[in-house]
Amino acid sequence: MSYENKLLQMKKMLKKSAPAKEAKETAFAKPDPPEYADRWEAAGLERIDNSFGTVFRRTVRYQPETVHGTSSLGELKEAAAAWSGSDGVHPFAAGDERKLLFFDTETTGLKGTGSLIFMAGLLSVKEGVFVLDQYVLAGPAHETAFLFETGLWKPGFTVVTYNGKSFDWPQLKTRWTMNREHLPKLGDPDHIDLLQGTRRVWKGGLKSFALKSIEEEILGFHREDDIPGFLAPIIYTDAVKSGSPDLLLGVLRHNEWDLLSLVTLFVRLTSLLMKDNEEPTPLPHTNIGKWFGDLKAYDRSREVLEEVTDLFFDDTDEAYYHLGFLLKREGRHADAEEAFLQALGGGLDDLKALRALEEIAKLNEHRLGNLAKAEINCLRAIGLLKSMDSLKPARKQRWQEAFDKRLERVRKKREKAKG
Amino acid sequence: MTLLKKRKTISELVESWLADPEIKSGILHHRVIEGKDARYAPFPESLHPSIRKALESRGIGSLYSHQREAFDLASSGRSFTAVTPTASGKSLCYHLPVLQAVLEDRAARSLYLFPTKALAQDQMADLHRLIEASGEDILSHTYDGDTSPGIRQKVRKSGHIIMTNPDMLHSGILPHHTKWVSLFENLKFIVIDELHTYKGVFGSHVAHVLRRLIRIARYYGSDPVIICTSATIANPKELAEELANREMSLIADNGAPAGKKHFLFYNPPVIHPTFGIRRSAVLEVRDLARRLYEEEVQTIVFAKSRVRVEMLVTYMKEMTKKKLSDTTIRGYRGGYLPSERREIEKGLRNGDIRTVVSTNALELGVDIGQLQACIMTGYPGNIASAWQQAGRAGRRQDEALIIYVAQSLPLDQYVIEHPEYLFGQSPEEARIHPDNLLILMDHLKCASFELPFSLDEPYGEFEVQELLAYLAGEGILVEAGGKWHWMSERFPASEVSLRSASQENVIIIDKTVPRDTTVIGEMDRFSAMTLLHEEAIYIHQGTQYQVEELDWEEKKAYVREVDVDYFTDANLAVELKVISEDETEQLENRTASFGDIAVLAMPTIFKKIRFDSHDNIGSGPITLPAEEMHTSSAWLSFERPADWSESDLTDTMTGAAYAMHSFIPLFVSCDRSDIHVVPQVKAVHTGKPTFFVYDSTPGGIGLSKRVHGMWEELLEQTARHVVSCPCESGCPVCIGAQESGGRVKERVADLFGKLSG
Repeated sequence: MSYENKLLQMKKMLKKSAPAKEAKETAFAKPDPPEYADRWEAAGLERIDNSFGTVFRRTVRYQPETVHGTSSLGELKEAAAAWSGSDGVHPFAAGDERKLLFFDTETTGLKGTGSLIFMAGLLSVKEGVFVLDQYVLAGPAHETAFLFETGLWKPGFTVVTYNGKSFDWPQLKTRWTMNREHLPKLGDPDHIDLLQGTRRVWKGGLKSFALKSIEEEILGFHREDDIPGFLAPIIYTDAVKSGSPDLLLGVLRHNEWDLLSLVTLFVRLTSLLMKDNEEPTPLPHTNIGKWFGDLKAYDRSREVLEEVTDLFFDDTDEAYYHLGFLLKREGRHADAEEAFLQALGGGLDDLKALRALEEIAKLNEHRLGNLAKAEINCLRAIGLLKSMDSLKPARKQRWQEAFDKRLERVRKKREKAKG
Repeated sequence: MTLLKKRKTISELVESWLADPEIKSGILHHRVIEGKDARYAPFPESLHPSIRKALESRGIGSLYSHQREAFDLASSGRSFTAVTPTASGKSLCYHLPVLQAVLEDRAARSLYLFPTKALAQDQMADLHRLIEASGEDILSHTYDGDTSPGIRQKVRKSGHIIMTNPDMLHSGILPHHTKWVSLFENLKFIVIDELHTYKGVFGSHVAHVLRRLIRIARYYGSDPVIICTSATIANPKELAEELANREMSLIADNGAPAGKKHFLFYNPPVIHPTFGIRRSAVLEVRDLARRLYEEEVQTIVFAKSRVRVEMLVTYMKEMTKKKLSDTTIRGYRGGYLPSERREIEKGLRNGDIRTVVSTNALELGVDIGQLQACIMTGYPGNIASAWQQAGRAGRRQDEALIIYVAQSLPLDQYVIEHPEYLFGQSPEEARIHPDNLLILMDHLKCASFELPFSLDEPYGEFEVQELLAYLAGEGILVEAGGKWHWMSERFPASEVSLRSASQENVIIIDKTVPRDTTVIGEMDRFSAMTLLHEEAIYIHQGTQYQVEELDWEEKKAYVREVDVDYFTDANLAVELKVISEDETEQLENRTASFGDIAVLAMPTIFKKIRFDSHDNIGSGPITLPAEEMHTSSAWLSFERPADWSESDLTDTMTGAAYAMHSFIPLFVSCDRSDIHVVPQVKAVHTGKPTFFVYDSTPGGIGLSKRVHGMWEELLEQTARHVVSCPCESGCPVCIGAQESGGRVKERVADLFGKLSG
């Protein structure tokens, strides 16, 4: 029977009541431990009863020598130290090993006030040892107990996540707000989101930025018998409904791997950004150079990009392209033009090629006084534009008008120069 | 030497027309409604000086009486509904108390609801001007799909006035209420503009969205006052009370001035007496509009579709084609950009534009100022809309002219024959039906997602514990610690569309521009069978689209914009099964029942029908699987007249059903497509000839329930209309086109007579 038909058979269940009486929030009533508490304990989870209810925890310790993929966890110390000594410009500069808190959650849904965080994994270094605490929500009635026990309300840490700026932390804030009457206030700690850094560095070089792909492509770590993340919500809701924690342990291991990978990814990104580690292709370095440029660290940016153009023969178009803008900024017009010309080696995407042509035309028209060259490059740009089928019509139109206008002006100037 | 042409007043113009043989024969009625003076009230003592300053800077030195009443009610914490005809200064009814609240307490927040994004954006401009003139720092902003991500957070945290629409509230705000704490903790006013648009399925959904909104507001400790404004409908107070689930005061007495109004009812001449076909209303409208243009009377012409708007504009421009880039005649339809609207408004104000031809888009709140004359091309479908369109004419105390031009359609002809229908009675009631279990269940899920229900908590006026237990049984909720917790990865709001009652909708995708495909709407799958089959002409906001592909598996219809002079009408093979008979009324000559039915429907063929003339110009097959729907139905059975053959009965019932279907919208205030009429010569359930009238909406929306209560009236009126139709043996205006010389029309009248007895 379809859902609709089933519902219509229930029509008789629907009753109307007198206008609702004022729903009054009563004082906090501590919920009873769930009836399956013993089974979850027996499965290896530690049961904690605090003043708000019950929460479960699993704790794992790792020595610094522990290897995860191609790195050991202990390399974090050196990486964090590198940042402590840096100039503070970079988003990762908040790194200090003692304060870093690697953080990852598992939730019952993707958004909204009805999706719960059912597991929070916290990994930090305590007296030289890596300590992972995984808190597990004992049931929907025990959320206050769960959130309180994580201690995330205590100040003095920098949170490190993968996509946490748009997912984990906003989710945590939502949960916190739903329980805010009984909890201490949640702070607003420094936050390093490694997804953002990873995207910047490997943009154009990786198909997927899912953590699992990063592990395989960059960190040399391969999961075996992993439970895919999208199953986690079903496994948890099932564990609550059935009381059986068996599959939940798989989700705990999934979360554990996520957190270990966060540590080694942090190490890897640091060494790339600090130039200690040469990637065999120019792309990450070019991206890093551009990143510094966007952070307005122009000298550092040019340094990195020039290294790319010095060290590599192939795939340097992109580096020349960004270098062109930096040189133009510095007023080195001829060098800038040269860089843009170098950039047109065929490796740029159409839009960037179009911008490079525009820059060449501009430099020649306004700075270098070569009107013929300005005209030729306008025409090249218009030709390129015609072939760009994937561009939205309105946008194409705007480009077309801009180049037409430039071309017309350049031609007039040439006429005048001929006099 | 030419004499200086003197402009005629409206009265003089009407007089000259009534004396003009060329035009007077078409004028069936002339009616004058006298004007009334404005009634003012002084500014309230308590009115904040900055607001007073802002009003005075606009040249407003006192309020209309209804605006003052609104302010006083709102200030005393009473929810109310104000009936505000076009151009009566309705927005001050809510702006004033809302701004006052902010100026008295900077933490105060208000939420404005408009039925569409465009209206919210229009109102934002208006409110911004008022705030600017007050010199106060008050943040008001729209919050909808177009709001840039950069400003969203600021609007959430510190917007004093949030202007949004029900859809956004439903899926973008309520399920994320933790991001709106400062709004919900301090919510003083909820403003519902254009109340009358919240009817039918949409209104029923919105009623639930409001129940959810109030529930969240209470959770955060606020108890907002609700302010509604509505066009003239029969039951504004009742509608508002049902929508908001609370008592409302009513401000019905409007203090705005109105000028004298001349109404002309114009019927195009019959050009084909046998088939009762009249000259095209569009052509008549063109001629009338030309006359007004030449008399320099600023006129708005309403047409029902974009195509007709464009047709009229093209015809009219013939007159001015000798002038270079003439802009005295403009089209206006849905989807215009705000800048284009501003340009048209400006043109009307300074007199550059003399005639504007519009789709019904303008009916809804958009303010383009007032004109001198209004022409309706065809009856807009209900009394409320007719008055709203008529309200566009009449600048302050000046006289206005409203011309209604009838088309060759049943309702149009009925109205022109019965002017009392328009003048003599109050406009329709707008009805909602929040009890529809499918709709209720959808929103109960959303409400559970937003905030767990406790074990003794009602939802709005509903006792829902049994329903919550059902949801727990389905594995969506879990009961723990005295509450029903959401325990599913789903996000229920995204599975519920406010514009339809079905679970699974067909998404309508416009691929007119291949690289710029956009979703333009959705439709429940039951309606989609007859409206979105391949080759169907689908009209969306006055624009015609042709369906190129209907992917039934994926529930997607791909459409492309076209411009054709026909529409499509699909035949549906329908099987009906009565599930429960809840009420029965046995009379001597008929048995009327009401209950739930299952409809098994399969579309068979579609016809292409030309506009206006309704000629059939082609057809094709539809291949789609059968669909089942449960809904409510009213049915009427009777004994077969002894002297009628089976085929007599079939033809007669088909004709009678056609006539009834045309008239039901008139009685229960709905669109033709909201209701179905199916004649069965021998129904399985009754074993007798039976007419089934059922709601198109799964679960029913209360329409057939109302039909059940008014059979007598419906049968009598329909009979009278059929009898008085001037055609010989049946035409599209009464019982549908018939072969000439037949006796069907006679029999239909006979049957109606027998039934209403």
